[in-house]
Amino acid sequence: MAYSFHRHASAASVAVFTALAPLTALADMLPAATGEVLLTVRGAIASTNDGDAAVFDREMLEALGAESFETTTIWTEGVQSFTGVPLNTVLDALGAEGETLRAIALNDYAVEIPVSDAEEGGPIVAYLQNGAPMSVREKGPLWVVYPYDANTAYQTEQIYSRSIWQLVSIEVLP
Amino acid sequence: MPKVGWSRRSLAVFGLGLALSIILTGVLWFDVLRRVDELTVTRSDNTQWTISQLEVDTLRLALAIDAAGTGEAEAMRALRQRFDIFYSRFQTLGRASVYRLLFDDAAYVRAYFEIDAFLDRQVPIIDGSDEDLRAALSDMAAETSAAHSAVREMALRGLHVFAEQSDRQRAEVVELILRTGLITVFLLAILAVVLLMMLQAGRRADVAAKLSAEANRNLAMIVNTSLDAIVVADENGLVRTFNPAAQTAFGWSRDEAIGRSMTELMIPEHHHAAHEAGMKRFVETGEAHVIGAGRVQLDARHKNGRIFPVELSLSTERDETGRIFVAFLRDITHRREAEDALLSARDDALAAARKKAEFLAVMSHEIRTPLNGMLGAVELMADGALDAQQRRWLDTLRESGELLLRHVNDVLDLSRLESGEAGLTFQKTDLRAVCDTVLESQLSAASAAGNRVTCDIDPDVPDIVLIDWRRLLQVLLNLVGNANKFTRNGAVNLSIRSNPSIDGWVSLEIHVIDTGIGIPSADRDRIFEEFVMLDSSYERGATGTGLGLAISRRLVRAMGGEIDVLDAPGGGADFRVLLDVDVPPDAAGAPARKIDGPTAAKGPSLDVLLVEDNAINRDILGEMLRADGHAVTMAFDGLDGVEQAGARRFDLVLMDISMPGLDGVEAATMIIAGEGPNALTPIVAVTAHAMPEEVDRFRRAGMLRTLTKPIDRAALRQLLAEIAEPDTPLASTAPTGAGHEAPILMDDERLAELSEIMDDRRFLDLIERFIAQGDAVAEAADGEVLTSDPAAFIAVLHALSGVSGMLGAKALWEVLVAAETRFQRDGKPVSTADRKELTRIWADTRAAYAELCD
Repeated sequence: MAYSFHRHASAASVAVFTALAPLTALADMLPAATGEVLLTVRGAIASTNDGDAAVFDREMLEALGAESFETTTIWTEGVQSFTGVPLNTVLDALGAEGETLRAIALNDYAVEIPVSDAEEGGPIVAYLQNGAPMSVREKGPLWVVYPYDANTAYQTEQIYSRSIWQLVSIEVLP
Repeated sequence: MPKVGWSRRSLAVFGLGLALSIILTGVLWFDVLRRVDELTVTRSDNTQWTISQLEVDTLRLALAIDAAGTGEAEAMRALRQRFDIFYSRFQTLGRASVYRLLFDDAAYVRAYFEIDAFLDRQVPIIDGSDEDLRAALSDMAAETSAAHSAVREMALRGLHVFAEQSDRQRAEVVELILRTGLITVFLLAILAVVLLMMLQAGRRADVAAKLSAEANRNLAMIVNTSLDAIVVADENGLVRTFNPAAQTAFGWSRDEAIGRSMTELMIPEHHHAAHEAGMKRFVETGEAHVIGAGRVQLDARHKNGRIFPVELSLSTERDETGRIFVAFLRDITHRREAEDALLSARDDALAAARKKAEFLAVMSHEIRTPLNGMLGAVELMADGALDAQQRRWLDTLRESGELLLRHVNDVLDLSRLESGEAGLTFQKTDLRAVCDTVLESQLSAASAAGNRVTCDIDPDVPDIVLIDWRRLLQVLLNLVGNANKFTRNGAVNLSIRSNPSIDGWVSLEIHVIDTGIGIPSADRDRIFEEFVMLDSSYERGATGTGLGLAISRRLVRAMGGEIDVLDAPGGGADFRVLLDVDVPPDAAGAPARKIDGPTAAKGPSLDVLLVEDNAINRDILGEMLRADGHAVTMAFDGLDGVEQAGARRFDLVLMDISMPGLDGVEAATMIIAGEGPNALTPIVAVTAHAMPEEVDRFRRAGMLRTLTKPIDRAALRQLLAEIAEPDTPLASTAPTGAGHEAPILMDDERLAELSEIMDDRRFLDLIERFIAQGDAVAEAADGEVLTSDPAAFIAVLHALSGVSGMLGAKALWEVLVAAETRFQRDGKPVSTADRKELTRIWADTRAAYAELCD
């Protein structure tokens, strides 16, 4: 069960900052996306940067703080290394206040993820697989991945159904 | 205690069930875990969704291709995205492990590779330039349409395969649930069985506990209410149980006693060392002295230091804590006191009885001595000059005195027997001779009562047995005498039978049966008691102290026999004596002559009339005759002799010469001349005056022979033998006192002879009477009273000389005879010198004879 947990210094600082900064100030702090938008978040969030939505390009996601782990999946062959931003980090960064996330994929697949799933050591919004960005053909560019091998609780059909790939948007439902 | 544990079989069943349960549960658990693992850790996504989405993606791709026909850049981008999505989905089907099993389906595989090829063909076009893509759009649409049917095929196949898998899985789960259910039922069953067993065991344990508790309660109650002290101690002698009785007995409270050493609490200091040593020895070697020895009496100590006797019973047991000692103790202070009191009371009673017996013996003796003196004096007076009236009074006095003496002797006999001084002397004895003696001595009494006395001795009865014949004779005389008293004109039969027994012993059965008035059965036990007289004697008042049968019974018992009384066939009494006697081994061939005891006289026994006024002489001579088996009838003086001789015939008359009133010569003359039954009977003169002229006078009077006093037994036998068998050569009848060389104070031989023929009592009576008479004569000789009547004094001397001759007082006899002879021959009165000589000799003689009485 080779699985390493890396927390970037920047991620730590963001987390600390998020805790201290008022939400209104935070809204101003969310920069506008400069590159291709990979993820759009709507709904009960405090910070936005595109109307009522918060959009992220690759850079912004990377800026939130990366986390990596290795695991097998039922959809791939062999041990895979995934790098991405933890789901809770994304929600924290946005001041999300909801119970459920409605995640939508490029292929129109949609699934509801309880906010409670977004915990430390929980799912990440992966943007690197085995150190490389993922194309749409390889279930990219964003894939919600749980550390299946690290926790057997993540080896259920429900979790598998929440492991949405080709993720494009999240709606935070109250 | 009932069995609490499970039986071996129950245990086996239980163990087997348990093992089975464990195995089954293990297998089930393994199965379930696997299944749970399968169910919780899912390796599959929603597979059918993916497959069906592939078809949707195909259709979308077809639409995107269609839309791209417009050539707009956005449509081209959308087409590429759609392709990528389709590609991505298809790649998932190829890579994901959950779809592996689909590759077992040939149709699926064919379709899969068809699409794979389709994608391989399209990728360069999609990745190419917009122009190339645009140009290939129509081809692509056609190919996509073709791919759609393959995708369709894949979806259908997938549906089919996963449905099968799902069915299989469901069946597996159902089976697992069923198995679980079955095993659960089985486990429940086992649980139920185990529960039942445990309930049963529990109930049994309950019952056992109850019984045990009850037993404990009972035990505690017994221990607490026991009257005996109960003390339980452990191996070290430390007290564990100390019941209330122990607390009372030893003074320690329970709290004080528990845990303390038994030695310290209950054992006197001086026994501590011995007790500890005993305990140590027992614990080390198991050697027990007191333990298990039953009741032992020991000293114990009270808290206050008092030592008291206890009865102890000590036992030992092993319990879970080791060895314990259980002591039952009883304070026996009171019992000991009671025992002591009882013992001393018994000792006192015995001592008192002994003293009484001694007193009786002494009193009888003290009565006897003066009585003998009195009778002695009466004898002397009878020799004096008396008128007829005085003589009758004197006779009454003498008879009463003699009767009194007999009674005293009986009492003395009884008390002697009572104190166990029977003093039996076993001698070889001819029972037939004893019977003859009895018959002969009872002849006159029997004829007076008109009875016929007979004797039957069974031929089986041994001739010679070892027995105290005097005692037997005394008993038989008593029984036959009684029979004569209570029978008139009837028969008295004495019979002896013998039942042979082993080892030289013979059981004698002696019966004395009469035809008299009998004895009421109510009185049969009583008559053997002392001083019992049935008020039916024909001779009431004449004889008897009521001691005869009591003495007889004591004598018989002293000889080891028994006496009782039965009904005689004729209505009279039947006295039975049962006696075991020894038969001397040489008895069969032994000649009767050699017997120590009474033996048949030489020749036939004779019926003798003894006429003698002197009681002592009469007794002695009578005993001599009886001892030799002759029947003796006594006459008290000459007149009495004549009367008796007139009554019936005798074989022989022994006639004393000097008697008051009618003297021997006159009496003999009257008998011979009277033509009575004894006119031809030989008459023998008995006299101390054996001078030749006297002997001539007797012969002239018709008396055949003269027997000289003191009578020698051998001479008497010789005489009687000659009279019975006239052929026997006549022996010299010269007086035996010839040639008086040395005056002998006391002739031991003669005394021995006398003591042999009569029992001790009578023998001593004789000596005492002799001493009393001697004293009287010596006193008379010392004074002047009798000198005024010399003839009377000589008569007194004569009486004494007869007795002294009989008793072997030779020196005295010689002096007396000399004085008497001088007076009769020379008419000389007794001189002063004679009197002095008499007094001196008497003093010596008296001293010698008095010794015999002490």
